[in-house]
Amino acid sequence: MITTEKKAWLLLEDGTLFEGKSFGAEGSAIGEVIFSTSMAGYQEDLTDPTYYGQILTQTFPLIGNYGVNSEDMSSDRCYLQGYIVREWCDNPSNFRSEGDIDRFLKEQGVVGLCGIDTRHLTKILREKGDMKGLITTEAISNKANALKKISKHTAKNAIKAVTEGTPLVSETSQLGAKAQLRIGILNLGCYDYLKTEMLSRNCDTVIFNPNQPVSSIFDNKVHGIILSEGPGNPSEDKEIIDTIRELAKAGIPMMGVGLGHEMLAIATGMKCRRMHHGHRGASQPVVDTLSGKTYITFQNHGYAVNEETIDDDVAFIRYKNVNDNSCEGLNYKDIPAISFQFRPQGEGSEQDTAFLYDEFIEMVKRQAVL
Amino acid sequence: MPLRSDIKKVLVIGSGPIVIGQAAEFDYAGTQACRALKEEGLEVVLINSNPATIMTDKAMADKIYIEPLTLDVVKRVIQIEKPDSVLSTLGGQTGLTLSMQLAKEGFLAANGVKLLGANPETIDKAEDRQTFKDTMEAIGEPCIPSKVVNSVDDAVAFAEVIRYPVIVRPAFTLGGTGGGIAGNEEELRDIARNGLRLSPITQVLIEKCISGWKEIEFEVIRDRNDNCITVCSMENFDPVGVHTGDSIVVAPAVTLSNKEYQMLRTAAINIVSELKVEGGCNCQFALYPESMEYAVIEVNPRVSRSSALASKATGYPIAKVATKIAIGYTLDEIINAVTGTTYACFEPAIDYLVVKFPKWPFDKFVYAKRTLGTQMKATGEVMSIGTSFEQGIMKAVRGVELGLDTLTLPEFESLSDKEVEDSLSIVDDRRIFMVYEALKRGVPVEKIHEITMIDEWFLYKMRNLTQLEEELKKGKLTDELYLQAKKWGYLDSTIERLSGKKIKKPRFAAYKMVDTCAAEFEAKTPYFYSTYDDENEAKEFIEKQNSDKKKVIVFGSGPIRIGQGIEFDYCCVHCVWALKKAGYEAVIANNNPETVSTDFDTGDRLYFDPLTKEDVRNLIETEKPYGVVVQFGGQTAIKLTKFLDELGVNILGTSSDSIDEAEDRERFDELLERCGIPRPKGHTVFTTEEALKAANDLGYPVLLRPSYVLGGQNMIIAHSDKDVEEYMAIITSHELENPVLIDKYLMGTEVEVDAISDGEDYLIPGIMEHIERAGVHSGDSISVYPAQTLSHHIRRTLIEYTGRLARELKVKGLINIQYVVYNHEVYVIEVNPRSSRTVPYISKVTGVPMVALATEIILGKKLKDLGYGTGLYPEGEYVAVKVPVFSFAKLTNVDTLLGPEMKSTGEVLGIAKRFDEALLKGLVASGNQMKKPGGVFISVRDTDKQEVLEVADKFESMGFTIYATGGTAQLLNRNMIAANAVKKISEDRDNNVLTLLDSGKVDYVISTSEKGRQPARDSVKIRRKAVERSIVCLTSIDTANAIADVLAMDKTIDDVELIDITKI
Repeated sequence: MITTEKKAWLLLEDGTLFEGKSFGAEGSAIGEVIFSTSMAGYQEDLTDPTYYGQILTQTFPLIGNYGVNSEDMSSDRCYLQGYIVREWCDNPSNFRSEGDIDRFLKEQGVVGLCGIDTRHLTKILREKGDMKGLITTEAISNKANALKKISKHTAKNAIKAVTEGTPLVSETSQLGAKAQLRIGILNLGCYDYLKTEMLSRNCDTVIFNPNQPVSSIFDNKVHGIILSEGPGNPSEDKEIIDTIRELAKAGIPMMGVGLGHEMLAIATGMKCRRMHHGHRGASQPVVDTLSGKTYITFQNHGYAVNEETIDDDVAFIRYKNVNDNSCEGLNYKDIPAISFQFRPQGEGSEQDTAFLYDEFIEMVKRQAVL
Repeated sequence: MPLRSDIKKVLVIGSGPIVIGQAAEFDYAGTQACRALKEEGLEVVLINSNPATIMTDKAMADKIYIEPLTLDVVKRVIQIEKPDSVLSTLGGQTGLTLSMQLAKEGFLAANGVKLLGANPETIDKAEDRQTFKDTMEAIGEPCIPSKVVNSVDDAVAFAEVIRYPVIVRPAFTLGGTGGGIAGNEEELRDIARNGLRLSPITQVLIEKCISGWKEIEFEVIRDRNDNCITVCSMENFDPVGVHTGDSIVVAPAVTLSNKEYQMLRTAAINIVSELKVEGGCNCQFALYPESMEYAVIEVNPRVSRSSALASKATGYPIAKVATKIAIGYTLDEIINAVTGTTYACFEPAIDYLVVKFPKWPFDKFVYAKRTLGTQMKATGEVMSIGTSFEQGIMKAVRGVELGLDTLTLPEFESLSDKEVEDSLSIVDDRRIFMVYEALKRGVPVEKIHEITMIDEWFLYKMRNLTQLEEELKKGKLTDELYLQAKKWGYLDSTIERLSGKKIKKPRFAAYKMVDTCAAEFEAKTPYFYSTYDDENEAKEFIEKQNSDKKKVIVFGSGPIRIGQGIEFDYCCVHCVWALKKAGYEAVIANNNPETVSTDFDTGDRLYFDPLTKEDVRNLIETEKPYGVVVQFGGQTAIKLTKFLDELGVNILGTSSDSIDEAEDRERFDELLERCGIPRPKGHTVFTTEEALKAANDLGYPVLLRPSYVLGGQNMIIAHSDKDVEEYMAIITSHELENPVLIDKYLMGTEVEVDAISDGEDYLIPGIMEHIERAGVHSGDSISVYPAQTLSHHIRRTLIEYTGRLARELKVKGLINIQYVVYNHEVYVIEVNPRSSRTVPYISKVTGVPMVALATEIILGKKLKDLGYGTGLYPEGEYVAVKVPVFSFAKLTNVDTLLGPEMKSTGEVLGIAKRFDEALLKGLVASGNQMKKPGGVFISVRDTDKQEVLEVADKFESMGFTIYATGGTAQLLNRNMIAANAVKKISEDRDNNVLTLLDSGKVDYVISTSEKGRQPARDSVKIRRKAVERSIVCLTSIDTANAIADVLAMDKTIDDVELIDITKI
């Protein structure tokens, strides 16, 4: 039985205050409050750099059931600002569990809030849209001041924050005598699973820091390049967009995922829009507009390509969200590129669209022959 | 692509009578299917032998055949109706097997009928053990080491290879009938022999026992475009080894890490894609708790009990979507009816935890073997929804109507610590309570896990409850502790009892919505559960809707159990429909996931919660209804009447006081006196001495029962002082506070009347007469409408008495009265001012919409204005015979002797122009193969000996060989009926009654005895043997006589006309 008496609060930009209990680290943090409907996979979410600057709410009420372990990390640490659950599990049960989520958050310095009506919070975000908020274990004595602080807060340079100083790393596939291709991954924040997927398909990989000059990418002579997922506003970092534009112009086959998909769209002349509330969860249905087949996908994004800015000569919507018809994937016409808003497949996420990696590899191979 | 243009007329095959393993969930699925088809403008033909179902209602299909579900009858229906398609996957195993037989014989092709929902290859891949294994191996899905065998010796040989324990699974049997776990060769030989016999293709699977692994299920839906989604994952509290129907189940799975979850989800999708299922499919997995190793246990390519649960747990209507897929739609074309804006091609996200708890019949069958294994024993289940496991399990346990409000089972409290620890290894229906007792005694979670293999996650959650209770017992009830207790599912009354403190400010529950999407989208269909939060979504919903309609709450009947089955759900659903039609807002409160009443769009609002006083009070507080209806939800709803009345709630229909008058023995006696209606003489007693005196005053035989009874629980007929002493010893040992009633037992004709009354006028749709004389529970009797043998004078008396009682009790709505006619006198046995088991079938065969009329009356209408007249409704041209169906094969050690205690789980109906034809149909529909000639074994109690002569004579003249034990044989032979004497079990070990039954020479057993129940008695052993050998066993001379008459008839089922009841 959890008997902590330490209180914690969430103050939303619109003035709504939730009082609950503290878990994880103590302290205060401001971020964009969002919700995810995934029922499993909390550790992968917690360590997903895409959540940089955000306060994540889990709609599933019981979190931490199977503990945490050293294997199920999306990256080396947590990047989110805060974590909100209805109830966390103090006696997790799984053969791989190495500890409970409370200790993990403490180690990671993530402020947690539990014991609130997360469904109520989710409904507010659904109706009013994702908004900023303050998560804190300090009693809020002056609400007006706190609200002012929240409204002033802006998260900037998200990509830089999660990729700063990451070196160029080459890795050789251990599968065959000779790798079939050499694939570059432009690391916009979240790339580990992409590397794994490529290595397992007998491709060597090179991870690029997005702030490296584009020449260093050319120097490395990759057959194709993947623009990874990442956090933040896709229009913010003009330099990276320029880099992507250069790559596109050079005709290198590309695959964009998540933020990479959004930034490739911007680099080719389209615009992105901020969504009212993002798609976050493991059960987002998307339909292939060519075959009519629907896939269940894992998603985590708060921006989308503005459908009205898609130039028919440049690209067409290949994948569409079944629920709100938003753009979930593009096929480019004049350059060898495909891109997806969802995660084709990652460690422990839905496997339904793993074939997209193979499609990408086929595309790269075709280009390599030409 | 939408609806296929080549489909215009569809035959839907139902699942037949309710038996253990195949229950109300198929009425729910079938009803959804029929509605989904009609929505598309298709013509629907339905066949189902079960008259208590909603799917066999006139509104559900265009043509309805309540006929035996045999291959020949289904063929005849197809020839008469000429449908272009058959829907095979919505009628349980029964519907599926029939469809496959029709397809494989080439009958469907020859008649130009398409098979929808499944194809024979898919079914074979899933159901034929060897093909299934080969298919799984081909796609790299691991199976449990196993081998299909066709003989006992092969079974033993393979078991030597994979080592004991092994599981025996017979092919093509319902709910695992005939299976079991064998720990050694002797056990294996026994189980395998039985399993081979029960399997229609004499095939069993011998498989390595993986007891103790986690049991995980996925419900998958796929369409012909290969769109494939998982609706829900489920995790069994009870690890592999207990049938999933007997397991406590939670949804979603909680102890799997994302890796394990995705691994199994991917496996499920691979399997369903490989099998090319078009519709719903259930995949069961075993997961080794200490590694990523898993094995596919079983795949069911049809809707099932689990799919009903998954539908209710998520709000996703699997049966409806499966039907749309079967007629050509794809998932991306089907709208999600719960949100109204999203599509069926998505995976539900839920933001609560669901707990399913089975309802077992062991309270009725005290001598039944309670241990749980691969053969399902539960008759029904409840589901609860909570924001935590603690809340969910507490709601489930109080909702399943065991008389418990916590996980403490009082009788375990007196066990010693050692006894508790030793009992943990017993896997039976009460294991969870033993585990709880152990946790209370401080047995470490790790140790309990080691013994039971129940995941520690569940055990720690249960330990949380023990700790909370200890906290409460300290007597310091702080606001915070109180709130914590509420959030974990404790009732105020329980909190007050445990803490010894009065609650100063009781909290009302808030309601949250079930919306398939964890609040990501706004939902249209209001489906709620209670919890303790500040935001009350139901209240907001009601305010926002701001409807000017009056609100009426209909209380449902809870879990299906013997004595309270699907009939009451039929009544509740009809009441809801009638309320809606009359312009009211109908709100349903119920906790049974298998039913139509808890479908998301049956009522205007659905509350999925237990039906205890406090739960109901919370609901009243949020809904503030104009009135409530209790008379359709069986005893579960009726029990609430007094409480609701005290709360000042407007009880629509018969008043609380009248209900009490019918239930309270003394008031009931006064009532009868006022009405001048006789009843069998009787006394109320408290002690054995009083009982003996009363019994001797009345003269044997006498009927004994506790004063508060349901479904004839604990009721016996005593023939001697010894019987009375034995009975009173049992009753007094249970420290029952209620007195015992002793009545003179009149062995006359039993008659049942259902009537509708407005307090002044009354309407009797029909009078039913039982084949069996009084003494057999009405639910277990063969019942005939219209009554065949009653004189004009007796009928007049019955009508007159019914009218008097209805008026005197000021009945508004339905009333059910049971009479016995003895020596040309009519006596009242029982009056129930509520709906009854017989309402659905009488409504269907008479055409009187009883529940709709009753509902109009409780809303204030007068009977004479409703257009159906008053008094006795004119008899139709058809005779309808209701025949009970039992699940004895599933319940080891239960005596099959019929008596005042109800034992049947379901019923079928035979309808024909003549009584004997209707009876023939009913008997065939109940599974009787009407073999002729063959062998009959007779062993009856002395009092039946004279009467059995006539029956024996009938069998003999049809050419049957008669067998009987010593005394009976002598008697028969003396009366010129040639009988072969058979030795009793004690007389010869190798050549006795049991070996005779094993020999296959006997097709009918007629067995009555003064005593039964105890498994050690010879008569019980004979009857159990008959069950094991699938020999028809008749335990009443009247039933035997009726069957003899039907057998003697020069007709078979093929000669009897099939009837579309929509034309009645």
